[in-house]
Amino acid sequence: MDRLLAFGIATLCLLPVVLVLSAWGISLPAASQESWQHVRASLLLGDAATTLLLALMVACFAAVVGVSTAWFVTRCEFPGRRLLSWLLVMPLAMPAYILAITYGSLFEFAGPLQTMLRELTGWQRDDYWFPAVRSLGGAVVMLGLATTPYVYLLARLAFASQPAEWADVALSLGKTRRQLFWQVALPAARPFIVIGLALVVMETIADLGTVQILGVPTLATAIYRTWFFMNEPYVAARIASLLLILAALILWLEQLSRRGAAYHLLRGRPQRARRALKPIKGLGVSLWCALPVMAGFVVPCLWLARMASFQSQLPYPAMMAALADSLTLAAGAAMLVVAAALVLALAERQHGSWSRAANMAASLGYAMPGVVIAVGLLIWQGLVKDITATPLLLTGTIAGLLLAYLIRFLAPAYSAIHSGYLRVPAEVDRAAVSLGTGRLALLLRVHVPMLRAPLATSALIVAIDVFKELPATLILRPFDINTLALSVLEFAGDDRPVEAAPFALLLVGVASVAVAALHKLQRNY
Amino acid sequence: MASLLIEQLSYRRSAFALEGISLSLASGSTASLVGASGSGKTTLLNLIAGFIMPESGRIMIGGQCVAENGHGLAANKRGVGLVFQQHALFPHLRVEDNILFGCPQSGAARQHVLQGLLSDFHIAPLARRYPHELSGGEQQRVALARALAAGPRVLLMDEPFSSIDMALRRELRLECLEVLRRAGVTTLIVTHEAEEALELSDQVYVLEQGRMVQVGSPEQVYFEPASARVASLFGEVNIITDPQVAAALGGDGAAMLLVRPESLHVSKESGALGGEVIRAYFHGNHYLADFRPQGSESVITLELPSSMKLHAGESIFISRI
Repeated sequence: MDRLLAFGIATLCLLPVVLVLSAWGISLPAASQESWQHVRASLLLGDAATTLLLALMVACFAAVVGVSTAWFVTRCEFPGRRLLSWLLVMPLAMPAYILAITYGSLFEFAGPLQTMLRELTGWQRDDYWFPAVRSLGGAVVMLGLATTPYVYLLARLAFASQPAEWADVALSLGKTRRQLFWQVALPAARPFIVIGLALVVMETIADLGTVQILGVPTLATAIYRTWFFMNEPYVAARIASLLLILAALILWLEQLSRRGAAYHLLRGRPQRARRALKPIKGLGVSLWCALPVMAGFVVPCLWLARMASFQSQLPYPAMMAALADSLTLAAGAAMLVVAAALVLALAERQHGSWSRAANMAASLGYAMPGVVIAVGLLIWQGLVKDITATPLLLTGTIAGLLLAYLIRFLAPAYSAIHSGYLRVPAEVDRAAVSLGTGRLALLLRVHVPMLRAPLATSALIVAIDVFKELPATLILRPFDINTLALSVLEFAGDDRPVEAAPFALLLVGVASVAVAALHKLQRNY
Repeated sequence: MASLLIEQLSYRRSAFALEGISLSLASGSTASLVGASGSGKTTLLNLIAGFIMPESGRIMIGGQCVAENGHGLAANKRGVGLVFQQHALFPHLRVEDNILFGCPQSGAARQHVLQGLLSDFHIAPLARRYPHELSGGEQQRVALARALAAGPRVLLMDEPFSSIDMALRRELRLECLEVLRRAGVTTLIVTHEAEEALELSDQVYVLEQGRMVQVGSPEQVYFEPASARVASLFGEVNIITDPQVAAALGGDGAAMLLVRPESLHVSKESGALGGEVIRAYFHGNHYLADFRPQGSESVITLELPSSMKLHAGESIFISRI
């Protein structure tokens, strides 16, 4: 039974991929062919190049900031280290599109910074240069700040788990601390960092909200435009397949980087006491580590609060309605995805050969941007309607939306539960079965209580992601559903950041609590 | 000249202290540092390697003072090689890159060092492999080759063979000893394995609760231990406090007589001391038997050849060999 269920889940995850790719096998009607030619000739190359450039630059940003801060908090002692160690995770609660709105209004011509500069200096519009947030560079910084915690968390885990003996050996072989970092700690942490970077790049290429707000044309915006403004689903699917290929390429590169050397968390003597930095150096490191926290979390929160205070009356009923919708979707998705992930992990535990198939299906889903999943589901709906003449309600229904979330977020939920299962010895199952326990009872009475922490972790991961999710929700939502994320985008799209602020602040507030809970859970586990 | 010289070294941390440690290793010699867990063996190794600094005392390596009264040379400038129980190979580097990691030579000389070590440790076919593709014994050979490639002035080994299978351990131990002797490297081995210390060392140092309680050749520490505790570190020993039993076995009137089981001769006919077998255990190539002398509460452990099977309740005689 669990095998059958796991097979069904894996198929569900793979279906949108197959359907998106099938757009190449369908001969387009003349009008669509013309649209495709137009898109290909005028937009596609530029959009693809921008997407690649954006992904590359965001990855560089996240690598430099994430790895350096992880190294400092694990190996050095400096003022505020403990606090910064967990505050550096907080930008996870701050979606890049909210950063874009915040910095967009902070840095604009009529914004407080430029106004203050003009008042102080007496300069006029063309007398000075000011960094433009509505640019590729702006998108790099916004997406970089929001995604750096992925690299930070994985690099921190890698550095903290490296045995103390490595440093002892390297130093005894005449290496300096700098050489220890470049020649041992960093290369040995590489696979973890690469996984973090793969997540960063996938988030970047999948992003729709930030690039739309900042006016940066990417493949994701091209898909959205083609579908909704040109009404060309198959052309959109063809563009989506490019994004899919890009995501598959990133996954392949990530796997490739692990080839040869075996990397795993190593057991050894724990690290010696952290190296205390001299006062000036320590202060510099504190500032460096505080920078992403300030820029990626504290400053945006303060400015959002300030903007919200510009309104004489906050739209409480609309905010509460949006919060209720967001929470309902997040909770529903968390339950569904965790249950599916548990089935997959159980199937793998009991029938080892399933591991590959389950793993592949799950990771492919995570590699698929929300836009691509939405396009896949829409094509599926169209096909079923064409063939059977009965409508398959995937768009505009909660079921369709939850299905998209399942496909999108099964991988992280599965990997949390799977690693939890690795800590439950097989003898536990054998002992329970020998005592007459059936399969369902084994799952409910033995596994679930033993997996409480990983189950809670995976539920929180899914809930946070769904809470912030934009593209799939935007395309597939029922009309009476309006989440906090959608409200933010709606106001930001109309260039009304002040009205978006209270919704954004509420979103970040709730997500912060969840991120803090997740961080605490993982530290204790 | 001593290659490693330690004079009156002291180091304190909360409840633990190393006090007045002195040690002298001749160039090219091999010594063992033996002691129970928590006696301070690894702390002393860390002091020599430079990961922690002594509060007082002096450490000289190859005639150069590397630490004195709380100050000293950084660990990466001491020329001290380290080999750990857990090998600590770098997982991202192939065997050959691990070995050459700290090698100061370049060009052809570097290759020469590599080829020499690969051949010395019989690991040439493994040169292109990664650490996870090696067995425990192979990993330990690579770790040792890596330490030697850097041309250390002193090599420190912390329980180097503890993680190796029993069957392989002795073979690897002797192989390593041969390479170390050939290379003429001064080596200090930390171990809690009596057999290892006795087999590998020219000199044995015994640490007990942060103090050096005995220094001597392997024979000296085995046959003339400074205390009952030192004696028990190097194998089974009978601690006899009954004066009559001690006198019968050749005691000189001291409060305590220490006798190793294999130093007692057993006979069913006659001997210095008669008594009864309490129980006997089969140990493969020999038997061990617990023996109670007549009229005494003492229990003495005996080692018997496998041809001499005894049973509980049997009367026998023992005498000192």
